[in-house]
Amino acid sequence: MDKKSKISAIRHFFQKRNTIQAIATMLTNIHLPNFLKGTIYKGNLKTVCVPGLNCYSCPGATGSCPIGAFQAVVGSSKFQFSYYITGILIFFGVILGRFICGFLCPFGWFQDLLYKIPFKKLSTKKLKPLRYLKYVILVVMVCLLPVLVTNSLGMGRPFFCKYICPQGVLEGAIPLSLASSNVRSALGNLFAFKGIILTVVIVISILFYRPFCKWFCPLGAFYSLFNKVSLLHYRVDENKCKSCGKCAKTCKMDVDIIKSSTHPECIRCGECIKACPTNAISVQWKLEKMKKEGNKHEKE
Amino acid sequence: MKKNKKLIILLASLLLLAGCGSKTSNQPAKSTTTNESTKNTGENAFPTFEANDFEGNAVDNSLFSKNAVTVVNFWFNGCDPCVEELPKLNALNEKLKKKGAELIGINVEAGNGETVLKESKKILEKQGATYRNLYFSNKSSLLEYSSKLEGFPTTFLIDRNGNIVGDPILGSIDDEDSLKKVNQRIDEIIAKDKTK
Repeated sequence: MDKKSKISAIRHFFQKRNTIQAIATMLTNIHLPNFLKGTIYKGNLKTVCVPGLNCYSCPGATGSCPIGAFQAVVGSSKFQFSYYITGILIFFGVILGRFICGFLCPFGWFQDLLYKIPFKKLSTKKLKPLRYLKYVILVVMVCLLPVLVTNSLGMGRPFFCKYICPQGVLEGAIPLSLASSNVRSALGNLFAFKGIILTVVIVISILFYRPFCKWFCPLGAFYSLFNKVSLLHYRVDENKCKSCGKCAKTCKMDVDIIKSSTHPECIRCGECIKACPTNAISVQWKLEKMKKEGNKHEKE
Repeated sequence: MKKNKKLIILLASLLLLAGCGSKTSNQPAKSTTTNESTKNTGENAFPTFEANDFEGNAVDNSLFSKNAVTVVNFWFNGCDPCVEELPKLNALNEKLKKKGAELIGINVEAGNGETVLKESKKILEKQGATYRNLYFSNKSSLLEYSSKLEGFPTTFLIDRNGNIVGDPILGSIDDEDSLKKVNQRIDEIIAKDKTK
């Protein structure tokens, strides 16, 4: 493939982001009839984690939520740490980084759709310090509290799932309670509390672009640590860049790709690639780069 | 405009996806095994089963005939809300005994070997639960039945004939309100039993 057709193929791919997100959400929740039955798939695939934030208790869920599974393991009386799930997360992170947020996460797509609702849009540029909150949530709610706050038998609770995660209410509690009267009668104060959280997240997602990803998501926080090393990454060609600033202006995650092409907040949505008038920004695989460099060495 | 239309369709389909209500019963499938002494094949019959209590005695559906109501609580060791409610269930059982009723626990994982069973016993001891608990083997009809439960803990009220009365209770019975409701339901079943 020559360079020009490669660039147009990449642009075409990013233009299809919405469709890819829809397909990813579908694949993450493949058991559609379960929505009518009000049951959860509990087969073998549930031992594997999906890459995005997707509740285990969603009737359609194909696999487990990595954040939920991690808490379930560290919260049990037998383990303090989950090597298996951390390993899966590192694997996803090393390959794709926050591309997962931009393309594969169902809750990311949900927020994208909400932002498309025509209503007043507000900038998050002045709210950048809130970005650090997601790391606090990752450390405190996902890693520490489930291990430290235990009952007399050493059992912890999945604090993030139980008290914060709006995806759990959206995908788990709401569809299950609609389909099952038993689940309905089990709903109580906790459901009301988390219903409020979900409502707030929905409202702010209409006003701001992806507030949950930016400020609260522990999974996004984890993947953000891998943006610097992920195989899939962005490259800015300094020879082509005219420093027009269109990329920074168009970025809804408030990233200036020229300053840092591996910024932790970059969800690889490709908006900057589309906006660049000189095609200076491109997607690359580090393997490709390594191969090329390897070939160079061989020739020398 | 076209874009908006597309968006509305997308959102509507998402809402439909999340909102499809259904009248499908979520009660676990009834067992079909009928080779045991208590042949209750009625619509709401608790599945015919064979199990063991934690002392090793064999138990089957005949245990229901001894009481006007048997409260059956499904739980497992790693289930935090199940373990938390054990003391409350024990207190409930003490009251039930005086009424001619009984509460039994069914631990769905204790049949997986001696280590798990020991752990279950330890949990019961720590939580001060002295009521009867059962475990079942991989061949028991209870394995499939419990795998189809909507969540844990789930508690059933079962009458003398081995029929499940009313909806199963999903979630812990740990607050005054839910305890009151359960007691009311139990009293109704006992009253009915007396009129027979």
